[in-house]
Amino acid sequence: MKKQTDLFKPTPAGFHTALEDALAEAQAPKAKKRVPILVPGVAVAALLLLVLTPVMFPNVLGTKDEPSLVPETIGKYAFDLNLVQPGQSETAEPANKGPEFVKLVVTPIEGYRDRAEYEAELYPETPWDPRADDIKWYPVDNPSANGYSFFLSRPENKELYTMVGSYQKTNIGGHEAIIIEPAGSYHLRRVLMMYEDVNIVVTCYVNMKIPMEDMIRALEGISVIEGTPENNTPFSTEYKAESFPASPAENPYLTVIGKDLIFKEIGEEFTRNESITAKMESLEVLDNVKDLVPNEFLGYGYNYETESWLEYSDYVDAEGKLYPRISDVWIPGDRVNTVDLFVESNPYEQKYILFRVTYTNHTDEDVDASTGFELNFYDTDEKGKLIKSMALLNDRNADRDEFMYLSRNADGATGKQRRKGITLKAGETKTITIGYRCDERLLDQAYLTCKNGHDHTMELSTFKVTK
Amino acid sequence: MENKLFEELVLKNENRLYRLSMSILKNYADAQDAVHDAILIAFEKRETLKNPDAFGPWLLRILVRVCYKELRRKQRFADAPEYLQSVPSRDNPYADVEMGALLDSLPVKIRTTVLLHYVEGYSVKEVAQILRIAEGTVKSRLSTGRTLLKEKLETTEPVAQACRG
Repeated sequence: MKKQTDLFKPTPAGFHTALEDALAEAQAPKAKKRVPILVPGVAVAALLLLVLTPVMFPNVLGTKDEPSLVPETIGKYAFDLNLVQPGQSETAEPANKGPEFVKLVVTPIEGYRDRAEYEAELYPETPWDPRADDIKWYPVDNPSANGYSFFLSRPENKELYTMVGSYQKTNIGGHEAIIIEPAGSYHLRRVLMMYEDVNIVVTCYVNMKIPMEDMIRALEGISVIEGTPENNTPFSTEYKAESFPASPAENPYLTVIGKDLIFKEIGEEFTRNESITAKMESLEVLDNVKDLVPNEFLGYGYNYETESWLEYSDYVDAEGKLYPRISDVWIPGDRVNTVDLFVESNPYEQKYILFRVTYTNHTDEDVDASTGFELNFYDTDEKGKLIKSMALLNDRNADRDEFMYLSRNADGATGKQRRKGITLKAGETKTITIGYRCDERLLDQAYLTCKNGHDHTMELSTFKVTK
Repeated sequence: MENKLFEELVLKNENRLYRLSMSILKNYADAQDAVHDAILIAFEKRETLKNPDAFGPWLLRILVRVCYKELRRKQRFADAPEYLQSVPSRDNPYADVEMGALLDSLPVKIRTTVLLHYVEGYSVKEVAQILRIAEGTVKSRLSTGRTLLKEKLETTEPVAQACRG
């Protein structure tokens, strides 16, 4: 892009001089403060007090015999946080077990708001059920960006921290803390803060774009108090103990599907839940979606310029073809001694999987339910058994699939923020159309599965997308 | 970051610092003060910058904040007669007086966005990072800036050139 800097006069020479003055002042040694000279008797008393205070009052002046947060290096990019006091048995009970229930108290700082407020504004029709262990702040001017996330754990649980670029031990708001800078592709700064009086470690995941001074200011404002059974912050295991492969030969990503995949035919009825049966009427893969109703596409992403959800034209071109997406290819590291390495970015095409399903409510009451469908990608092992797809494992930065289309008659709702489900009156039968966009490269490994019952069901009615 | 490297990077951005501060504050003395403060802040925080390649946008971000702070301070005292009497006239940094007047007529946030993108040549993403706003907001401000410029001047080659980039 051509610059228009010639619109300006040349920078005056005096400005250059001012810059040099500022640089000189910045780099000049800071003047030391005068230390008042005490009267000898007072000085002796002060010295005695300084020596004896840690013994008489261990928490005054922030002094302690030993720190609580002790990183033990495991690898080049990892440390184990040994939260047991040095010299103490690992099975010993902590001196202070802390209250059974605790409450994390956070007040978003200027420029941020918490998840509850954000969700209520963007999803006014859907009451949000906040998970107390998922406390997040988002930037006010960019809710799609990451801000802060907070998690609680007990210090006596060992923690492994990987993808560590560097760390520094410090004190934040009077609490012992460790600030961890990320390594490799990891993009969040982690801050561990010890709350000894309640025996809690707060782990904060912070967007790297947030300046350190802002982050410190924000973290100084959080506290952990005793909670009640009705009002408490659960402990989170979600981000604990990042996996450490047992051996280099072990592939940590290979998992065997634990559920029963019951293959069904087009036109064959199957159970959706205790009230509803379903039947796949048709299943096709489309190159082009121009014959579909534009306003029946579900919303995806929020446009903060227009303060509305992305429109049809944002992801479908003039010919009705889905825009290609970009994925990034990485060579994964073990995150302990090696970090992930970026290789290249690849654009890839998308296809559309469109299928019609007839649902029947066999009860005498109206029912609501999700469609029950998911798009999964399975491969087969050497014995012909379906396993989780390893294809494109190291491709990142793009979703492989997305539930994108739901015909209006599913639940009668309008707008982009429709609930992705169905409403059936007592005894009603209706056919709805569902669409997923899919990474073209994974079509042969794509399977549509439908739950029989709830999320914990072990049985999935299954349809292979391609023959 | 070593002092010598810091110094080199600051001087490398000298012209940008001048143009940006003058565009926002419209006053040479105020611009010098703002740049002075921004350099002191940047030096103190230099270790928070991990990638020296991002020094320019990082320093400009600090400067924008300092300039906006100064503007707010001025607005608070704008009603004081003694302040009004001491306000110096606008110092003109523009080689093209007409174009300069056009840019000056834009609201300060739009003017800053237009300057960073069309004059300094930063991408939308970079401008968003400097101003700590969403990319959509950058685009919106650029669009508004173009509209306002067109309204004020039906057709002027420098303006058209600037808007086309």
